[in-house]
Amino acid sequence: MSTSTGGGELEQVDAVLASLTDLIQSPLPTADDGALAELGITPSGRLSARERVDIYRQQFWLRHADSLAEDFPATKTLLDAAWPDVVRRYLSAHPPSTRSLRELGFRLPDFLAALAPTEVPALARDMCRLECAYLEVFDAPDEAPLDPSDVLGLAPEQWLSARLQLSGAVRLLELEQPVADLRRALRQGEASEAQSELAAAPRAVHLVVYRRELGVWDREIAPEAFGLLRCLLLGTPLAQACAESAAESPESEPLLDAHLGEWFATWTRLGWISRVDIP
Amino acid sequence: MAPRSASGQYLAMRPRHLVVPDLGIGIGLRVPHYASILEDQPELGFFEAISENYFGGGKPRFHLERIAERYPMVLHGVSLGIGGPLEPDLDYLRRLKELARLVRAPWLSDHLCWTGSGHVHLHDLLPLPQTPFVVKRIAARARMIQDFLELPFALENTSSYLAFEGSEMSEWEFISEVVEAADVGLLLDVNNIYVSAFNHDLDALQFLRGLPHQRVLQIHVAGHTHFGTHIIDTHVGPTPTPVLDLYREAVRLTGPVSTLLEWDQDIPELPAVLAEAQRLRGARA
Repeated sequence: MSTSTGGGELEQVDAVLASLTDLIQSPLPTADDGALAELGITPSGRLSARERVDIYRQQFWLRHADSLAEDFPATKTLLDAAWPDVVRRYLSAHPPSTRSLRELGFRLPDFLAALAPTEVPALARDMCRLECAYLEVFDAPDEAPLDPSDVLGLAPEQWLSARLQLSGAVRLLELEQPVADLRRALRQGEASEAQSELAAAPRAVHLVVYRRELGVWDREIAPEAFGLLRCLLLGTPLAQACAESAAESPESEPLLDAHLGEWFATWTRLGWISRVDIP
Repeated sequence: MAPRSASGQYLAMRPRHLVVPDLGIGIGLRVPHYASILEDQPELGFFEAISENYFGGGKPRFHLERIAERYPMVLHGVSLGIGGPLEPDLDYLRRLKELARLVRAPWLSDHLCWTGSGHVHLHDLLPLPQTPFVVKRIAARARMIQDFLELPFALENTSSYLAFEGSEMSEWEFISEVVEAADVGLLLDVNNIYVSAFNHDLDALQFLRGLPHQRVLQIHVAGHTHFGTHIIDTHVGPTPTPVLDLYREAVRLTGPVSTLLEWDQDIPELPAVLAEAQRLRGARA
């Protein structure tokens, strides 16, 4: 679909808008008067053309830095003095490209993961992944949870090939440290004590971040349950997912045998499963 | 240009497809007020929701739907970028249309501006060179959008901090030509007129009087922040007196038109916003 008219002149306009976009997202004010002259920006009675463009540039950085700070408050706290520089580098590497500011930081976890551990400690990386999961789940599309009565009549052989669909408002996180507790402590202003506890006894956690009744929650689960959920998320049929999870360690199979029914009931109750597809 | 007279004479001249109800005074739907709105059910004409904030589910969509059950809800977009290099995104328009149907929006609006280039979205509302070619491009897009949405569609005049020497017409002429050529409505933001008039050394009254009043579907009123050399459209309240004066003149020219109070910086508790809306009600009377 094209509704354009006026070819050459509009191409010139678009070239001006593209150059202006570059100037506005630049970390520093432009020093190139020639470039400004080419854009044809006029001065006002009180401001030069450069100062006028710089209003937009400053607004760009303020708006997006504020947005990231609001979305990743705990990561910001953990990175402390390094945060402004991380934000500047992130926005330069990944300029905003989506309509909603809510998605601005969706690439921040991967960006931090690519930085040296001396710049971004593991705790901050994990926290960033957790906060990003919270953002993603917050307004993920609504889905009705599985109605248990829908699967009551399924025959055992149907369960073998069943595919359990996880809700779009569920994220699975394998973290090096239990940062969800630290996040809660930070929100309550008890960060230093929680950080000391983490430093004294770090441990890996398997976490599910999910939305239920409009709230966003996190819940730690057993590694075996996590492995099974991960297989299901990839679309693996239930029987195969159980077999793959059982093969992960000698302890897995008896755990699965003992707890599968209970896990399924809990996951259904918490709204993690949206439907069961029978081929 | 001499002031046109007779409040409301332009309502009779409005194109039939742009006839919309006067909903009185409304406020912007903002997150800190969700619970108070549902609990207190304040007396208000309507709410305006930022469309892009409600495309997903969860808490935002829940509250939008509940509040739209009790109040008229109009939708206002901030990301269309109708004057930019890219043609309108049909997927975005489909989602917008679905949302409008969900809340039974009587009209939709976005801004007469551009928002980025290439894959970059600046999340700002930027001014365009005011030329006949740009008018034609935007008008063609706006007409297509209104047809697609099957609802009255209005473009809002934005505030701006820079201007182009290549502009061949005044801003009010530019706005008028776009909405006339597209046969769409105008969302008249009186604060944006005040801000742009100061920033570009223009006469705010001349700006206001030069617009096509018969196409005004809705009015926006808000506050701003004065930096001495320039004014930024911050939507901080309460509404400054010169903007309120401009609003009175706008109402005189357009007649009774749905008016929205925008308060987006240092958002106070709902009663304070409602008290400010009451001031607008007084100014509109």
